[in-house]
Amino acid sequence: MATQELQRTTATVRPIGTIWEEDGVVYLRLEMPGVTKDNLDIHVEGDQLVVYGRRADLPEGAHPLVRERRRGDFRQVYTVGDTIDREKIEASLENGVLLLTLRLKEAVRPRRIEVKAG
Amino acid sequence: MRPMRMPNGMPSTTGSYFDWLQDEINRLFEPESAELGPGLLDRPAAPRVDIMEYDDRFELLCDLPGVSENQIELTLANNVLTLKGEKKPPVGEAEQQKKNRKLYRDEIWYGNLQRTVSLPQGIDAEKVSATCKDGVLTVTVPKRDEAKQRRIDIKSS
Repeated sequence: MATQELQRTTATVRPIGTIWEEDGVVYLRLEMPGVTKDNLDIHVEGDQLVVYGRRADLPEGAHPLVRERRRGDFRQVYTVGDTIDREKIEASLENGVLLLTLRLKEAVRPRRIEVKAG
Repeated sequence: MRPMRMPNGMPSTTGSYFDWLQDEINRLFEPESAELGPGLLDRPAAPRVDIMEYDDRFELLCDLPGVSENQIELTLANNVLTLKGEKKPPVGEAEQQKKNRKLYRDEIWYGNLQRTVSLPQGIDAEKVSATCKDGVLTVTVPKRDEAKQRRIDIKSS
């Protein structure tokens, strides 16, 4: 995973996202248009999961006539509890949409206990 | 009492059209959702664009995360560029599957989008091209030769 050198001190925006839990897995789908794999930094710091996506600056020779799109790098910090297995965080990026998969530790997964007829 | 239906089809919690209108207006000013909220008349959402001018071309940029090329339709007629598209939920996200979900945050919007942009004179309509990469649509509109800025050398006499 990339180091933190991507991060800049400019203003950042929070990516729009959907977060859900399903079968003991927490999914985070974050919209980060314009972010490539190389410009994406995901790391865990203590109990914080930091997602940082750097976007390209204004290209050279470009004179902006209209600027409506949200500007700035994407940054979002999540607090991950002890129930999340930090070693098993997966990430995939497609068409500017990041999908993070966080698995709950086996110990905290809900388990169904079969009741045997005596 | 039967729940009252609002113009957008949603059941009203308070039963007042004014509250609904207030919500709609508030939503317009929310920076996160204003670009892609369901409009007052449920029209297609207008995605935000940037337009850049270069010496030899214009570039229109539009953030369309999660939208693939084949979901976008671009047409150009009389110098008016129309972008139409549909943002579909990712495959395998059927309604049945969603039932097992515990949703914590739901901000991503899906639906139809449309945007119309008037292009300036002096463009080469035949050579307009578009690419979609990393969730950003880039439409390149070259300038015609006569519209390009030219440097005029000043001869010394």
